Formats: sequence, C-alpha cells, structure tokens
Amino acid sequence: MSTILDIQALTKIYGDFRAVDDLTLAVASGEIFALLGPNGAGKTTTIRMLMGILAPTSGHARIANLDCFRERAKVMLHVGYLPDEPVFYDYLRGSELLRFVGEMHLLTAGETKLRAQPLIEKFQLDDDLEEFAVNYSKGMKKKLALICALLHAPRVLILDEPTNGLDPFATRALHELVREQASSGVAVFYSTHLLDQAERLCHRVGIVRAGALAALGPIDELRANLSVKGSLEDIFFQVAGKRDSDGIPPSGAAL
Amino acid sequence: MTSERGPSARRTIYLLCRLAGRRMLNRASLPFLRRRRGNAAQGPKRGATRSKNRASVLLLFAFAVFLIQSGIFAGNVIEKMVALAQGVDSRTTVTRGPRTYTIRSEERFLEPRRLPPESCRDEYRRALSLFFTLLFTALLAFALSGSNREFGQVEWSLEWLFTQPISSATLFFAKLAEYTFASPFCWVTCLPFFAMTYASGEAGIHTIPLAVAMTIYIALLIAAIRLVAEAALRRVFTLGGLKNVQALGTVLGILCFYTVLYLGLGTSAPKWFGHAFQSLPAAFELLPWNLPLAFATPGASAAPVIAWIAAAGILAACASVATCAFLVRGGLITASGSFQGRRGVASDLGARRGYFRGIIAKELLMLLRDRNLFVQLFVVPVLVMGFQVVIRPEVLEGAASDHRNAAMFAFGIGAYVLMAGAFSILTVEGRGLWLLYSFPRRLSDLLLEKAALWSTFSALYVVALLAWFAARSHDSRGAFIASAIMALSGILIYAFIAAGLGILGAEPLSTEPRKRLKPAYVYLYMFLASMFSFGIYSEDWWPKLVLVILCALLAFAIWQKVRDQIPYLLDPTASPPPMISTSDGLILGLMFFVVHGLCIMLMAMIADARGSTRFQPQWEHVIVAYVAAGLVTATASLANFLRRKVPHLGVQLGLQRDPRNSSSSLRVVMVSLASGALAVAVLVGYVYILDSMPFFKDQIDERKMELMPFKSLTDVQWYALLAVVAAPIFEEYIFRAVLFRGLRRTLPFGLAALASAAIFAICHPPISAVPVFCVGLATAFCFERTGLLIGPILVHTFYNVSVLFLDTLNI
Repeated sequence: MSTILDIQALTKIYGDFRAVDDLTLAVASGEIFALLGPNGAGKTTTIRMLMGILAPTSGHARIANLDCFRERAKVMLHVGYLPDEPVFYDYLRGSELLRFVGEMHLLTAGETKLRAQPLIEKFQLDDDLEEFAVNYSKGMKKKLALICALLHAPRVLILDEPTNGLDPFATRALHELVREQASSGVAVFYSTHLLDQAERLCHRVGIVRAGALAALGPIDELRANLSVKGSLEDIFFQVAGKRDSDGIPPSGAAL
Repeated sequence: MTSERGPSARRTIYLLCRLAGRRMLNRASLPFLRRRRGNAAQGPKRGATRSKNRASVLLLFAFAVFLIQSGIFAGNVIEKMVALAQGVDSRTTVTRGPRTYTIRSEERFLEPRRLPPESCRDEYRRALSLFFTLLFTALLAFALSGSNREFGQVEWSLEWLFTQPISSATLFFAKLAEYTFASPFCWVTCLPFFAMTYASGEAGIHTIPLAVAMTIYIALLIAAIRLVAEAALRRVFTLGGLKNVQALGTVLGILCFYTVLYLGLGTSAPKWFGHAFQSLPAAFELLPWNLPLAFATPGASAAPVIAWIAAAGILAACASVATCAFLVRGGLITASGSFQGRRGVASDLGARRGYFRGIIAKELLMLLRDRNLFVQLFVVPVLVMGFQVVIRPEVLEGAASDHRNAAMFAFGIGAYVLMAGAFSILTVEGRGLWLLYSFPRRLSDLLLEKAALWSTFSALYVVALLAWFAARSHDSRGAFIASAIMALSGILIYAFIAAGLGILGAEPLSTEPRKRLKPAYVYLYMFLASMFSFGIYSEDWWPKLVLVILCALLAFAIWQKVRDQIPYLLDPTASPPPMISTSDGLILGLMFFVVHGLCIMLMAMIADARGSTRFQPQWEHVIVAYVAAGLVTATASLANFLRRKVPHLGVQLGLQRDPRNSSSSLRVVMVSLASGALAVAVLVGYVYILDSMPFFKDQIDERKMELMPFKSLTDVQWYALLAVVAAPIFEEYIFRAVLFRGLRRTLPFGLAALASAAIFAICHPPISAVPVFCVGLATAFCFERTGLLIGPILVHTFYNVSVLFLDTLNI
C-alpha cells in the first residue's frame, strides 16, 4: 500500500496562536484514517490546508505527490471533499447542482448521470432532486455534497465530520460507502467527534490536541502502548483529556 | 426556580426594541471597528468597547448630516408647492423659462414667509398631500424591497422569538414598535419634512414635538402594513414569489423616490404634477397618511385632528397585530419551497440542455431565477441613469447630436452596469465558495470566465444604446464608428478592471454580507472610468490609442495581482510573497511623468519669482527635470522593493549577475551590440522610407518645427547628454527592469516583450513610434538573454547615438 496523502511538519500560526503545530502523518491508499480531537484542536484547519484553502506557515501537505497549496488545481482532480456544513447556491435544484459539478470536473452529462444514479438511489435522494437545494435539510445537503464529491471517482476522500446530521439509515449507507471505497483503493481521511463510529470504521487513528498530534496509530497499538483496556473513548480521554499543554505523543505510538 | 409567567408586555416591548437598536448600532458601526488581521483567531478584546463609543459618535454625526440634508431638501419642496399653489390662484405670477411655474431662487430656505396667501392654502395643502403620498409609497415599497432581508429568506427571524414565554400578540406589538422606531430611512426623510412644513406653517414652538409625533405616526402606519405583509405574503407566496415581490418593491420604490427627488431638485415642478393635484378631490387630504399635513397651514384646529390621527394610529396598530395573530393562530408560517410537491426522479440529469456549460450556466440560471438580484444588477442602473435623463433631458439631446457624447453616454451606462454586476462576481458566491475550491480549476480562471460574461452583458447595453444613437445621429459614419469602437473597446477592458478591483476589494471572510466589499475600490473604479473620457473626447487618434493600451495594461496588472492573491483569499494571516509586478511598472511610469511635470512647473515658478520674462523650458531645464524625475522614481521604487523584501532583488532588476545565467561580459557586450545594430537597421530603413515619401517628409518637417529647436552648441550638448546618458539609464530601469520583469512573471517572452515595447512606444512621440517599438523589442530580447540591465542600456545608447548621428547628417 503506497502513501498517497503525506503531511510533514505541517504548521499554521495565526499571530500568536498555533492552530496546527508540527503535524506529521501519512495515509496510504485503501486506508481509512480518522482524525480525532476536541473542539479547536485544529482538525478543520488541517483539512483546509489539505484542500489548499489555507497556506501552511511551514511544512507541507502532499496528495499524490503534488503540493496541496501550490498545485491545488491538480490536487483537486484526485480529491473528493465533504465539508462540515455544505452551503449551496440559492435557486439551483439538486439535479442542476449535480450537473454543474459534473461539468466542472469535465464529465459529460451522460457520465454524470451514470455515476450519480446509483449513489442517488443508495442515499434515497431520488424524490428530492427537483427541489431547490437551499430547502434541503442538513442531512440531505450532506448527502448531496457527498455525491458531488464522488462524481469524479477521486483517489482520496476528505470528509469533515461526515456523519454529523445524518439519520441512522444515511449513517449506515455512508459507512458502507466508505468501506467500499477503501477496499477499492481510495484513501479516506476524515475528522470526527463520534468515537464509537470511528472505532468501528477506521484502520488508523490520530488524536490531536491544541494543534499537535497526541497519539497516532491503529487502535490496538494505542491501546497496548497506553495500557488502556477500554474503548477508543478511554484512549481519547487519556490522551486528549488532560488540561496541561503537554503535546508530546506517547512513546512508540508514532508511525 | 423557574418563574410562573414570562415578562410583562411592556417589558417585552422595551427589551425587543433595545435589542433591535443594539443590532442596528452594531451593524452600522462595523466599518469603524478596525479588526487587526493578525489576531483574527482571538478577536477584538479590550479595544472593542473604546472604538464602539467612537463609532457611535461618528454615527450620530452622520445621522445629523443626513437630517440637515433632508431638511434642506424639504425646504426646496415647500417652496415649489407654494409657487404651485400661487400659480393656480393668480396666473399672472407665472413664469420665466420653458416650464409653467417657476421658483424665485433668491429665497433662503429658512424664511418662514413661504406660506402662500389665504386664498390658495387649500391648493397648497393638496399639493403637499400629493407629494407626500409619493414619498409614503416610496417608503412603503422600500420596506418590502430587497433591503428587507428577512423577507427573502426561508426562515422567519420571528421564529426564534416565538420560543420565548410571550404571547403572540405581545410579540407582534413588540415587532411593530421595533419597525416603527428602528427604521432610520423613514425617520431621516419624514422628520425634517414635517419640521420644515410645520415651521413655515407657523406652528411656533410646537414644531419639533409635533413633527416627532407625526413621524412616529407615519412610521407606525408603514410598520403596520409591513408586518401584515410579511405575515400574509408568506402564506400566499413561495420563496420565489417573495423574491419577486421584493424585486417589485425595489423598482416601485426607486421610481417613486426618484419622482420625489425630481420634484425637489428639479428647476420647477412639472406640468403633470400641477394638473394632477388640481384634479384631486378634497377628500384626498383625509387619507390616513395625509392627515398630518393638516398642520401645514395655520388655523387648523389642533384637537380634532390630533384625535383623528391618534385614533387612526391605534386602529392601524391593533388591526395589524390582530391580523398577524389571526394568521399565525394555526402555527407559525414559514415560506414553503418553490417546488413543493413536485416529486419524481430527476429526468434532466442526462439531457443536454442549453449551450452554456459550467460556471456560466450556473450564473445565468441564478440571474434568471433570482428576480431580486436581476433587478438590482440590470434594471436599477437603467433606472438611475434614466432619472438623470428625465431630470435633464438636454443630456439625451446632447448625446444624440454629437457622436462623442453618444459614445460617452453609452460607455457611462455600461460602466454603471459593471459597477453593479462585475464588482460582485466574488462576493455573490457567498458561502458557497467551498464548492469552487473543490474543482480542478484555478479559482482565478473561473472568476475570469465570470468577468468575460459581464463584459458581454455590459457590451450589450453599449451596443444597444449606440445603435439607438446611430439612428438619430447626423455625424459622418466614419466618425461615429470610430467613437463607437472606442466606447466598445473601453467597456470590454473596463469589465475586467471592474471585476479585478471587485475581487481585490472583497473580504470573503467577513460575516456581514454587506460589508464584503470595500467602498474605496468602488470609488477608484469610478475615477478610472471617468478618466476614459479623455480618450473618447480627444480629437487625435494617437491619444485614443495610448489610452486603450494603457487601460489594457492596467487591466492586466490588476488581474496579475488578483492571481497572486487568490490562493490566499480565505486565509486571514498569510499573503502572497513579495514580487515585482506589472503594477509596479505602471506606477513608476506614472510617477516619472508626474515628477517630470512638477519639476518643470517648479522651475517655471522659480523663473517667475525671479521676475524674468515668460518661462520657456530650455534643453537644460528639460534634462535637469528628467534626471530629477528619474532619480526620484528610481530611489522610491528601490526603497519600496527593499521594504517589501523582494527576494533576489539585484538579480531581478538586472543589477547583479544571475548565478544561473553564466554569460561572460564579452557575450553581454556582443549581444547588446547585435540587438542595437538590429534596432538601428530598422531605424535607418524607416527614415529612408519616410524620406522617400514626400507626404511623410512634410509631416516630419512639421513635427521637427514643433519640437524644441537647437539654438546653440550647448543645446546640442545638453541634448546629447540626455540622449546618451540619462534617458537610457532611467528608461531602461522603468521599462525593462521593472515593467518587463513584472510582465515576464506571468507571460511568455514574446507577449511580455510586445507589451513592454508597446508601452515604451506610446511614451514617445508618434512619429518615432515604429523604430522605438523595435528598440523596445531589442532591449527586451537583450535583457532576457543577458539578465543584466547594462545590456539594454547599451542598446538604447547605441540607438540614441544613431539618431543623433542621422540628425546631424540631415542637418
């Protein structure tokens, strides 16, 4: 399995505030990686740096050996992105949005339909595609954004809090989709709060606190290294629950 | 321990009004609160309260200024109404000028003797009633127009208030109070109007309290209607329908308000107004919103009128609250989606519809569906310009008579449309910008496509107007076509200038949607657009060409900056690395000309102060000014580059040898001489061709007479010094080291060389344009090859020496 997403010493500083501090991790093709952390830990900032929206202060992020910031347009060929709160334009129906996204990824209308149709059925959006996207509920917007992200068959999926706002059907459908994509070689990188879902789904986990990586590795390994017998939740609270500013990852947990 | 009841009705109303007031104050004071970019994550802390107090003072000041302006306007209106009324009474008092009634302009607005004589007071009040009805309609329309943000949204902000432990009737009363007191536009227009009316109606010390009371009454009426409209229309219309209502409100409001402005600002009240108010019945004054005008003339018995007004106000308030409470008795209404109940599988995913794809298709769809936006971007500019034409019809006549006026008028409307539309191509994306970031295309390319779309739109306006003027024009075809081409090329270039400035001035991170564009950029654009009139109105073809080339370069420089800054658009702290840009070259060129002119002016002033005869710049003055300008420009630019910490400055400017480009000194000299020889060859050929054509030879001789003659040997020496030493150094610095460098950063060599040579050529007299252009190309080639500035300097010196040589040969 080759590394397709590579983050090296990534740092983002706003004035005096270190949003992301010397982050280093790698995700291989076919791997599901979850980035966990409390609010304000820098997860969304990291994802925005992966999307080329923010420029890193130092260090770099690479996807498919292309720099995420400097070669953003080329990187987007390989990346599918699902934001935390997708906001769509007014006055466009779901179907029109899908066609728009397909055109922007240089797919013909036929190809767009071919790729979108099974996903629409899986997420049960058939009835709502003629409605204006601005009227969708939060869950429906996320589903639509997910379909948009998958249209061009990306090699990397970047999901920001993907199941936040999805009902149980959609959550299960999303999990199945993620496993499917991973088994077909897509690298999945997602940030979440929902520890039990992460535990069931992901191969590896990274826990960030105050911008820095506090733990990294498969859950079993973390459990062994931290001598924690319990669930991911216990690991999380052990690593990220401290109040002090200690940011050194536990020994042997780095990969 | 939870309380048994919610707050009392009075307290609720007070709290909600205070909340609305605080929100309004915060929103209006946002431009005065400075947010330092570095601390975006931490937000304003201690400095915030201090600047908020400062902001309130400034706001009060601005409000006071508006009130005074409005009062002056009201005074004008009253004068006109009085004259109208008197015109009806005694027809002999009419009229200088082409219109029926005229105004005595010597009257100052504070004079209370504006009251008409007893006999025509009824007419005066009726005229005022008609005027005020127009104003009332405008205020009402604006209350439901695009400026009412709650109207066009899916959710109703009232929904949140309904979660409070208050009855719906109380809530609606509170909303009514908020709309009455927190509507600054209504207050700024009505309060001074009533105050001036009552002051001239001899109300004495009762003027101000009465004016305030009546303004409250009018604001209450508008608030009542607005509240019912917001509740009822939501039930009737879908979201799209509400936006249509908003669009209608905008258009109606603008039309009425401009009529009001016309009545106040025009030279005299128009005929239709005079006929209209004469045909009104007396009962017109009894309409609820016209009741306050009973106090416009003295002698109205106060008590019954006030009783009527109070009754009307209370009735309106209760009726609107009752209606609203009735409407929400079955649950709160939210606007339904536009296509409720239309279900089924999406059928058009696979169908190929329309000729437009991608972002253009999306823009067109949105513009066609969002009527409110459409009206604001396409209709409002026409209305605004139309108002100007109505108030001064001679503008249209002037435009139809002279082709240059026609071109300027068409360009003006096009520029106005651009200001509305092209400026907002980034801000209109709003919070959906993340979707554009996920596409495998550069954001600047997508925005460039949108700018091209807007250039098409504005060009359509220009072409339509030009066609209309062409049908009515009596000028020669050729002249009209020349002006038309000028206007059209101008608008195409300015579309990109407007779009670029709009992007540079946008702040997508700002949460307040209205503050997303910095007004300074709009003013800059307006200034630049007005500069284009130089080109349209100049007689000669050469200044036109110069202006078009300069504007095109300006558009390119702006978009180069846009491309630099776009990757850092959503990043509050990072900014692009410092580099030499085309804009630096442009600014330097401009600075050079300005300083040169200033030096000459300075020398003229010194000469005048010394008492000598009328100053004629001699060659030594020219060279001193030239060198001074060159030194100032060069030092200023170097200081700027050093301050910005441009990396590898010496190598970039050609002052240091580039370690990667290892060409020996001998090679540098050889390349320079070769390029110089090429340029000189072109020069010789050019002069030979011109000499052999008698027509051109006369032209040359004419131009030579215009230029400064050589009166003595010292003149020649000065000129030689200028040509051989000063000019090459400074010109090469500006045009090659900075301008060519800036262009080369984003353009391939051929285009960069052509562009910098073109700019170089237009800075010289037109007669020498062709050889100078070739020199520009040669020096650019030399600079590219050698990487040192000395190369182009040698080429330029070589060329100038050759020119001198040829000149002396001819002499």
